[in-house]
Amino acid sequence: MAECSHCNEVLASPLACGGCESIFEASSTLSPFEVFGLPLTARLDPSSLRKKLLQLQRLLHPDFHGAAGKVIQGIAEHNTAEVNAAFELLQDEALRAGWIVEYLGGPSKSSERHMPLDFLVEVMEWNETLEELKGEVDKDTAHKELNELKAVLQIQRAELIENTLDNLEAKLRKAPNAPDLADIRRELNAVRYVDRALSEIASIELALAN
Amino acid sequence: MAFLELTVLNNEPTPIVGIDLGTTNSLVARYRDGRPEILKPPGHSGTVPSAVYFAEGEEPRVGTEARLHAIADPGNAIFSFKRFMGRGLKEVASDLSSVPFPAEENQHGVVAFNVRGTRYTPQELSARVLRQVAAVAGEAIGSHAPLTAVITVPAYFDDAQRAATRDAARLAGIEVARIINEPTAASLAYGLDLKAANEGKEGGHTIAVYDFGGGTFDVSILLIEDGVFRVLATNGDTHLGGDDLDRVLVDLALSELTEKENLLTAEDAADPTVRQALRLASEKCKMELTNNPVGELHFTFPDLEINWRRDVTREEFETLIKDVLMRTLACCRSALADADLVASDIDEVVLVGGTTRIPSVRKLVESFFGQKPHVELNPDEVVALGAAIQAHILAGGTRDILLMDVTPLSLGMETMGGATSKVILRNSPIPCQHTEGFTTYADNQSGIEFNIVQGERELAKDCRSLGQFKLTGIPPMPAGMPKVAVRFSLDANGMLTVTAKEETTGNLAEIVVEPMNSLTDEELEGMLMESFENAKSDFEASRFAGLITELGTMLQASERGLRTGSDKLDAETIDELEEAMQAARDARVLKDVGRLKEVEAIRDAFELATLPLAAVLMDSVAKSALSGKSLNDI
Repeated sequence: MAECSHCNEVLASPLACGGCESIFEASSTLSPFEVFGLPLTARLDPSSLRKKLLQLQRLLHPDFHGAAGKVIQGIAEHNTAEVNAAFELLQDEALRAGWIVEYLGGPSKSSERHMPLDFLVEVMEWNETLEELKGEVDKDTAHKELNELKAVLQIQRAELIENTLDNLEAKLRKAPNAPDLADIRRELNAVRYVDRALSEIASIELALAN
Repeated sequence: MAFLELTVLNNEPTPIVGIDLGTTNSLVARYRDGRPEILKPPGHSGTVPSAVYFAEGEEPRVGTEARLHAIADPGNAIFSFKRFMGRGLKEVASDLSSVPFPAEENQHGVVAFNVRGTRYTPQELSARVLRQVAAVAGEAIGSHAPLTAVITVPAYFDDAQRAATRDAARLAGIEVARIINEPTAASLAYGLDLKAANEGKEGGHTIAVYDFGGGTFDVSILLIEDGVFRVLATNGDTHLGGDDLDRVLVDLALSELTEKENLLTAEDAADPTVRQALRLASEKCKMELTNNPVGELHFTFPDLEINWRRDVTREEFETLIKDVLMRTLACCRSALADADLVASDIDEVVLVGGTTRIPSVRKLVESFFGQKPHVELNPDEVVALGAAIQAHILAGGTRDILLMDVTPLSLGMETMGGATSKVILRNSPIPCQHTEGFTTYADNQSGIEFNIVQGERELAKDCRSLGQFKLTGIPPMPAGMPKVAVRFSLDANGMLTVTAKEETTGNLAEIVVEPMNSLTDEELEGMLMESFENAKSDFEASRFAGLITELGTMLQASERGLRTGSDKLDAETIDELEEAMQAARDARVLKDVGRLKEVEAIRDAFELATLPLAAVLMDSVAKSALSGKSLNDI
């Protein structure tokens, strides 16, 4: 990590110095990892990521630069937005993994739309169950089955994510047996399908509760 | 030393205050001695009812007096105008049916109320309330310098409603340091105590703020960790409040009076004066029900020879308002879902807004979250107190607390075919920026039109359009070749700026999106000019009030000073001073602003006459401070 040009302290992020509390305008587009002063890794500890967010916002947030001139206020606002965007991406395992796939030159979600074949059958089954549940008149039955399906999906999602992160880690350390980036993208597409089904469940549950 | 204190007070920079601009009442607070406090001048509650009354041929009255006139002269007293801020006529149809004053729309689609032949926008009316709030603050602080303020808005206010609030402050001559969300402000006010109780809890602790006011409902879910108040999700309804509960009782009375008892014809029932009387009777009944198991719905209307009473029990009231209350729970469920939490994950629940005084509301919140909500702070004051804390932060007073808020509604653009393409999702932390790429769909297309929308619906026509703009000057190219980058920026106030850039040529269209149904710059200028004309008399009135207060303080100080220092003054000096004091006492009962110059002269003469006394007192203070010390020690 670079040093602060004002006080020579090691920088918390290219955007701010924790030592002298100076804030800086980024000279180039920063990656989310760079914004947080982190090395590129597939796995991140959520708790330390959150702590880092709080540390950076304490240095950067426009609330703390109210007395400064327009230029500094503009930088504070811009930098805070950068940190917010980076955090939104880094805290979400699927988004983070997708970003790394593209960073490594792999396909984006719009250029690779397939998912693993064996997964397709399962997706179709879930969709069928969901369609049936939408028409379920008995609230208790609906709740029970929605909860069961939700549990299945959550386990499925956790497995998919673990697998993806393992694969990405292998890719990042250039392991010889690491899978293709397109395969990792297809796995992430599967996660998106699970997420869509989960949010569908959430909205059915909301409709039932209301 | 009163005189020294006075000087110090007057030299103190005017602090940033926090203002709660409410549907029913407005309040101002400031941070002092480690705590926020509501500003209350002597003998004044500090509360300014958000109402304006236009008397025939007289200056408009703001606040309590205006509220009183709402009964006798309904068409000329305007209230609840916050519900109309930044809205078009079509959107407020249901609100209009429940208020006894007519509204129209100006050429830019801004709602305006026609009172005695003059149109007033909600922005102008809010500005009048804000000016009154500023006068209250000025009197309490003892300085009438222009104010800088943090102003609160319902969390679910969209861009147009925020812009309208900012414009109102501008019209009132108040500099807006920040616009913050009401429930977030409330969490700050409570947070000081909750923070201490939960210090060091791993992963922070979550709070839910249930904010049910006079006209709006908000719920916000926050995570507090290391002094950072981070909003995880917010939801609400800007047309759901205590007014709706009154309306339930109005409907009950109307149906019984017209159908059951035949006391009221359909025509009379539609009369604004009747409506207003019913509304006030209902409000009174609702308040009675807060403290008693039974409330009386008492409607008198001498002109129609009606004197009708009916008891309403709490149980009956609870049944009647159930649907309205269920709507608040629907908002809570959505907010929790967006925060990825369930009700039992919430560590603390905080109640805000006058409507949360209703026992059935408290019961409902308690059973929904499975815990007793916090009610330690006055639900009417907590928002202003929180705004004062944010003001303290912005003034550089502390770095221990930081607020990180979110945008309540998704922002996007209309795409081909009328669908919405979301660019910034609801509950994204602010400030934030996002850039979206666009291109042309026809060969040699020279311009692209953009319609910027806010809302969650799939079709652009179901969302609120914030504005339309056109990027022109795209050089002739085959369809799909030009690269247009549209950047959305939300600032810390939650307000939007949009810029568009054609990247092959660098053509830039910087657009500050002026939301639909908002005042244009020319309109604002015009209103500002008018207010400058009024400002002279406003200024004189507030200067006059300030002088009267100052004379009072000087009198007290002189009386106290004379008691200890008169033996060190010659008789002539004392006579002169007592003469000046009598003149000041006489001046204090003057009510005529036209005699401002005279009172100023009296004050100046008074100050001159006090100088010998001040010198004597200073001297004795210095002596007592130095007593017991030899000259060598000094």
